[in-house]
Amino acid sequence: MALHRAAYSSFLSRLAPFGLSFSKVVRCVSPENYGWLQTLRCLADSSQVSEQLKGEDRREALKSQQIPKIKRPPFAKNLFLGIFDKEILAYPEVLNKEELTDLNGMVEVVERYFKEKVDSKKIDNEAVIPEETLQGLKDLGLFGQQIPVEYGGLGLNATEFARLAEITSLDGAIAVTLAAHQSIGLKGILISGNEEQKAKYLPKLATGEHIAAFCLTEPGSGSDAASIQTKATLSKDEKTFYLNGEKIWISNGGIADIFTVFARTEQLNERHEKVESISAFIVERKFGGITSGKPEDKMGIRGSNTCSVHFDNTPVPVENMLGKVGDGFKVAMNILNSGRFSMGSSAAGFLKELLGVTVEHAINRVQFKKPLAEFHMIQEKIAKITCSIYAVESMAYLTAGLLDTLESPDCSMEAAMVKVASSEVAWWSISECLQILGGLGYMKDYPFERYLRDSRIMMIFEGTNEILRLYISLVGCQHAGVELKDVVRKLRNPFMNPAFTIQKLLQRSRQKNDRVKLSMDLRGYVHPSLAIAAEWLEYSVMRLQYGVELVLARHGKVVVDHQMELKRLADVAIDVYAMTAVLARASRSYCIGLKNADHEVKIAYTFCANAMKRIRENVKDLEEGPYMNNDRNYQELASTIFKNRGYAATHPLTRNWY
Amino acid sequence: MLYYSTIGPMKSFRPSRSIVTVVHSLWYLGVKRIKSPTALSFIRVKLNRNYNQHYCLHCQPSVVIQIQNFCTTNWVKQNEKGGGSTVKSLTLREEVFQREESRNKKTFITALESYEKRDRLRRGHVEFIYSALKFMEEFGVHKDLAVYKKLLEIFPKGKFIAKNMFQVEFMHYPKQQQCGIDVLDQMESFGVMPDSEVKEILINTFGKQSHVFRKYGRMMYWMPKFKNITPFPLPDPLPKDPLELAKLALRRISVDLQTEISEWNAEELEDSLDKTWIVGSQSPLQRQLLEQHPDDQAVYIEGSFIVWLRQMAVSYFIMRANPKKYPAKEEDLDDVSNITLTMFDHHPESKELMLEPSIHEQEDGTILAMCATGTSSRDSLLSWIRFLQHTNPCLKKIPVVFTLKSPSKELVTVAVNEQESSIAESQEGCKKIPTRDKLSNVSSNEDSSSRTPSKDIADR
Repeated sequence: MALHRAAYSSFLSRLAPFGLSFSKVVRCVSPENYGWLQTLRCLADSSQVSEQLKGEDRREALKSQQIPKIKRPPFAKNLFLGIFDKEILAYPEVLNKEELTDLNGMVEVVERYFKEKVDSKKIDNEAVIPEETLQGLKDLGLFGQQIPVEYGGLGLNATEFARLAEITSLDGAIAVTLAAHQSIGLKGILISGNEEQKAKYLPKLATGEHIAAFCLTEPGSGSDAASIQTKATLSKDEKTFYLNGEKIWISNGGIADIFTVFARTEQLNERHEKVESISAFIVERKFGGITSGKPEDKMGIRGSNTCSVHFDNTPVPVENMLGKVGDGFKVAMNILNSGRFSMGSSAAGFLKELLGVTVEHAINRVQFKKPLAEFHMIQEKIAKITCSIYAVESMAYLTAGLLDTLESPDCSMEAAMVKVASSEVAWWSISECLQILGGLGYMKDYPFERYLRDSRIMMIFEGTNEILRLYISLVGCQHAGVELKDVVRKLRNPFMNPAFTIQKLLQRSRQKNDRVKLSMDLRGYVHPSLAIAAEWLEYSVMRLQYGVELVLARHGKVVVDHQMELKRLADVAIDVYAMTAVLARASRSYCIGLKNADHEVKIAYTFCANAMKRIRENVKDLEEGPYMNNDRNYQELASTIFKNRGYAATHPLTRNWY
Repeated sequence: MLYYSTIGPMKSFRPSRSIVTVVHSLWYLGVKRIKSPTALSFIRVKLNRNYNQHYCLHCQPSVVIQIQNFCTTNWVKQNEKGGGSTVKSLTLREEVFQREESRNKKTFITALESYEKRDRLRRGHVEFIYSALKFMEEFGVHKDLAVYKKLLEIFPKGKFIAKNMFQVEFMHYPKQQQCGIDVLDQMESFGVMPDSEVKEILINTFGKQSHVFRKYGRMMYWMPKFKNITPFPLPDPLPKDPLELAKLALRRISVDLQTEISEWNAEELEDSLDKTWIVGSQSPLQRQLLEQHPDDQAVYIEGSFIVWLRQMAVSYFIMRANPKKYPAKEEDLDDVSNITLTMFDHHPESKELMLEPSIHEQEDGTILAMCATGTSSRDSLLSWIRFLQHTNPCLKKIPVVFTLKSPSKELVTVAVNEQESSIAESQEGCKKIPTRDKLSNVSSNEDSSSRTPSKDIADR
């Protein structure tokens, strides 16, 4: 921990020769600002205690010790207001020396297990994970990664969990099995369970003796979780709920012993009327009345068990309710929001592996008397894949760092951003890797097609990317709406507020001409060699805020219905967050002199330049409105096609006369 | 040696005044209002090597005051009390280390502990630390961070921490601070990066506002930056096995990414004399170039050349062909009326088209393969050619000429001696390993000793 402090103070002193920057960085980490430094200081204080303890005891002490966390405003939400929390540019260093050493040891063991004992090809072919492989995973403790030590789990924090996810994702089926078990299946007990529930269920779940599953999706309710139909009726003695309904596409549905089930419950409100709401229950298979359908035959992640689960008058004791009656929707959202961030590091994990294979091929495959590595188009692909991996990796660990260091972190938007970015990067990057291998990549001998199939699910599950994009932009707009209430009202009634309108027009003239005035001075918060990229980031933040204001002023409250514009806002926000993460990480690496840090700086520049290009394009589209940016055309085309129930253009060979 | 003022040269000096005058002048100038960090920039401290301090206060352009021997009084008195000059006590302290029979980390630490145990008051610890510094290399602990920490722990805690601005500015306990700086300096010169524990020790000993801590800060600024800066990273520590070293060396000098490093043992060949290992590097492209080589022209084995892996030297040999003559072709790059599509042309061998020379085809020759062998003898090279013939059948026809300028035997590739210290080698090795031109002039017996620097170091 003191190591962090040293690294940090050296980080500060490193900036000293550059005069200007020094005071800014000091300002940025000053205790008044709830800086990282404060966390680090807290960490350093706790190290004194830890030094007296040995080995496991120390680890447990560190875990159980409540390290005072810092409180900070939500980063991503504030981006929509054009407020940039500069402290985030100090990339978090969460783990202390012992934790990092422990983690590396763990990673090594798990990696060896995956390389030696896991036959992904066989799992994919036979569509089942062999029992001994699962047992091996259980023995490694991978079924209880985030369960606290006192319940027999590994007690990993978000950062450590993300690191292990890099390895477990090497096999898609295992990754999904594990994720369904602990990222969503038992997360409910972890987040909202009471002490008795935790003590009863967690120990067996941690060892993998019991496997958990998360039952939300129903035939009529996918992304729209509020519309579930499964019913839980309270018995007359008010001691038991009876569950009735069907859940589909339940990961681990066939092998799970513990289910987190969401169902409608009826209760009386204060006026003694019956109201329906959603509640969450812990259901054991042995309660009876549970039947699983046959495993689904899927495109990817074939080894994972996905099937439907029927509940037929399953009795659930009232003490098995998670939270209170009617808390179900909140519990479900909390579970889903907290599980998403690790998808970034998972994607980075298998992409790094695949990139290695691809690079090896590009070096050795000779065409036109030159190895592929010398062809510019291949070089471009490799470089772009690298930038993408770097971006999602940085985003994932930044988000994990926020989750670990903040007090009651509000990171659901960041996590959603990581999920959207990483799932799309994964699909695109694997596809590009496959393309570099050409025909070979298409063959089943190589892992590319399997990874491609496996990764496709990432864009679908845990909230489809479309829903998450809406979530990002709507939550952002909602957050901005509170602050911008008066501004938007005036903007929407220009003739009632002529003075304000003229003032705003003058203010906006720079934005209109795409010449944003930079006043946040972000360049002072990164290493001087990244100053220009920091200015690009600042430009992007200002543009995002401009976009939000435009959209809100144009649509007012009905902004909710303008999804194409919301999607653009979400894309801009994701790019801004990615730029932030990339810059912060590259700046840190360069300051503390990590290996190939100059390479990282180059990655940061490349990524930021591309991201800024996308942002410029997106905001320009927002500015121009639906008639210029094709949105109206898309809508009209789609409605014609729906009217014709399919492709509506006449075949090109058709002739109207002869 | 130590010069903290970096802002500019001293303006002028006035003969010595007492400290009282200094303080008065400062008061007069309103220094009391200036907080310590600001005062730092006003007051520049210069300290020369032999602990004779000349503190020059440069308060304002008009007033420059020099004080002599103010802060030094403290330690001079102490020294007198302890009896004996610095030189004398230094020799006394050295005995602690000279007494130790075997020279390793364990005995070094025993020596440190024996001092700590014997002298609870830590008398003469500065001299002791200096003598310890002197012996570190001999004990082979000069690159060991833990030992440096142990050494820094010898300083008594608390006493040397400056309590006010003046103590800070006048280098509180200069002798001790200088000693601390020298410890850090030695660490720096051996590339030992301090860690946060060192920081804690320094803060507890000298405080944050000390020159030692500033030195630490500077080290922590630069050393991590340099830690990974080498474009040719090597494992640390280097492997001892010459075979592994040879592999590393060949991997480093092979620029072609496709290069394959192969390993053979001459014992597999019946008629080889030197039963030794051979490591060769050849890329598919080089194989192809060898294939295209005309049968009536010779290829040459040249060497030995030297590649350095940190303090280790590895000699290697190359197989070279005479440079290919490419016809100088005039091409009008401005003419775009007929762009040739190499990739889609049905006759890529057309005379108009010429492939870009590969990276192996250099102006002074085409490099076809490289190797390093256990003995670097002519016979081992012959074995190498034999092995190469498996993968390059054309070598059976092509005449191979050995143009080794050095004697065939006794040419030590890698100094492999368990006892050698790599530093000793870095100093000696550069001088003693002769260039190949010189080698050709000396007889093998004479220079065998001079070419193995490690041996005579071990003997000494």
